[in-house]
Amino acid sequence: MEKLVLNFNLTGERNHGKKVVCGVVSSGNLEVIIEENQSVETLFNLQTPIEGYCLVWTKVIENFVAEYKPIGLQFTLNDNGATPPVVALRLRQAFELFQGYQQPMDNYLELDARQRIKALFDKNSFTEWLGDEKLYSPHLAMLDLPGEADDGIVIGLAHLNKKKVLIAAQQKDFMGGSVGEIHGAKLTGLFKAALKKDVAAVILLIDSGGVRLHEANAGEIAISEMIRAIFAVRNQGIMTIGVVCGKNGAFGGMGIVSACLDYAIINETGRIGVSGPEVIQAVKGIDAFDSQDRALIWRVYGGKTRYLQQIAQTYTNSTCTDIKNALISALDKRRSIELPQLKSTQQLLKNRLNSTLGCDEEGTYLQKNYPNLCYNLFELNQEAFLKVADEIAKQNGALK
Amino acid sequence: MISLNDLLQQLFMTNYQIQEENSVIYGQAKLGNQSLFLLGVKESTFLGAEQALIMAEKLIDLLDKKNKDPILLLVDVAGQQLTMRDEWLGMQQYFAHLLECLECVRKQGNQLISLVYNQAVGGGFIAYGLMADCILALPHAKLAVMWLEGIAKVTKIDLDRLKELSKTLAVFAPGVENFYQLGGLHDIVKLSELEDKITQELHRKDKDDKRALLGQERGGRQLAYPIITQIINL
Repeated sequence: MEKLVLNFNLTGERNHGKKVVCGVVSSGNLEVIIEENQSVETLFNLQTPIEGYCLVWTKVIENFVAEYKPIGLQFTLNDNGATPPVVALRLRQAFELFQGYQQPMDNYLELDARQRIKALFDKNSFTEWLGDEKLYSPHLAMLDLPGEADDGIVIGLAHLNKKKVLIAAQQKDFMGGSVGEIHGAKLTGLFKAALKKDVAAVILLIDSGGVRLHEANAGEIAISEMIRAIFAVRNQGIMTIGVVCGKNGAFGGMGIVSACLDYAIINETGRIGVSGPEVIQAVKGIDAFDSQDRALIWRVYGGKTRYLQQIAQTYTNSTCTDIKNALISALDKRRSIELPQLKSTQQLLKNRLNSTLGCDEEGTYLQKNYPNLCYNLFELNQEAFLKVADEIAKQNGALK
Repeated sequence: MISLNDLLQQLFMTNYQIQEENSVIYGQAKLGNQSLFLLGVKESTFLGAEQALIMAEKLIDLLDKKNKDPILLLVDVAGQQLTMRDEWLGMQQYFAHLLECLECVRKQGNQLISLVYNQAVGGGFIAYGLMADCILALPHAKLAVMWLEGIAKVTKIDLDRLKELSKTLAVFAPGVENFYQLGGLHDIVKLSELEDKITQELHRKDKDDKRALLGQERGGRQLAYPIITQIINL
């Protein structure tokens, strides 16, 4: 890990603005944080796992400073092998964001955690918690891996359709949205805070492969602490909702967490499971699961499958507008942790187990039971799919 | 390794009876005058959707009968079931259902004590063992999220380096002591002291989750507790 500090003394009027974070510490990318400096100096703090490029960094940053003249600001650059053009682009984007420029954004899949929150919740209603602190994982640093100031999760308070809610959004591109010690503590803390704040819901934008193996034990214990905190929140009558519409889905511990919430919203891309296909293939061989077979993966874990199984209660497309509407209508769909509800879940899960003997993915199951309905189902668009899903639910009436 | 029968005989002598259904074991036992409900899995079980559902059914039975006996959760989980069928069925929902049933019996007043008698590996530990008010392990127990070979494969960190690091880094390395340091276990107990330990735990009324604080006090997890506390106080 190499560190570099650069100082610039520029003359002119100081720049003012709210702290911004742009980019993610994923491979070939970097995070740029801009905030006001205490003095008129402009300061750059850089850390990078790629050593020996100080001259190139200095050149790129000097070019940026010459062009944009940022005065009295502090830049934090957390790099993970970004090329000079990417660095130049991120610096420019971050500075434009700092000056108030906003791109219109509606495709959930393309957005990072803060952009997702901005797009889904009421305008200017979000207050990030611990946003001013730089909480880098010390465990990643021990392994010479770059950290991110938010440890891959953004938490805070916002309004959804004028109702106060707490939110957490996982950074899909930082360590696969994985749960380490800090990441997990932020989630557990958020749920515990909900018990003291008067909020309508806690909403998780899940996009995670599960526990971060570099800090595996801390991550696993954190998942368990989180689950206890989630149940405490639900016992108090506060709604909990998971949105699984991102590229990593909800796997491992986060798969289990997604199922511990009252309600789940999914899109076609979303996947939910415990072990991913690569793990099953690595241990049991390619005959047990061909992890290259994308169609099969979606028939096993994918959004359509999870909606048909009632594991997710809303199936949506990937626009933030639609996901927001789904969130608003989910606000009153609580599922209590009481005996009658547990009995009905027991029945649902028992029926699923017993009525599917011999099947191990949604395609063959539908073929066997709904041969007239399932043709092309996995290729259908949202509207057509929801019609077929309704028809299946009707035929399946006894079970639903 | 200890066999389940040896464990139960040494702990309860003849005062227990268990049944088995698809690797799930359940039954009753007595410690002195105190009745206990036993629930868990037999040796080296891979926990899947079916096992979780059977365990949930036994807990629903207790709720139906308003039986408030303390529950001893017996853990020897070699991992979660690694099959396409279990994944397609939505094993995470079966696990979550089991967790909800445990939460509900906790609310009813049943005390939950779990004992890792041989091993607890991966997601199967989250599914019930880690949900107890008091989590215990025998000294020989093996605890891991994933074995080092698997971690090396996924993280692409050299296995020899991981082996070296695992000697000092409790945060990721398998081991019963490491889980203890991080607050993931309340105690490591010798078989000969188990009866006393359980009896003592049965008198404890405090059911709050103190694991993050334990992790800080024991030095294995320094950040979690201060961060959680800071957020609660915002």
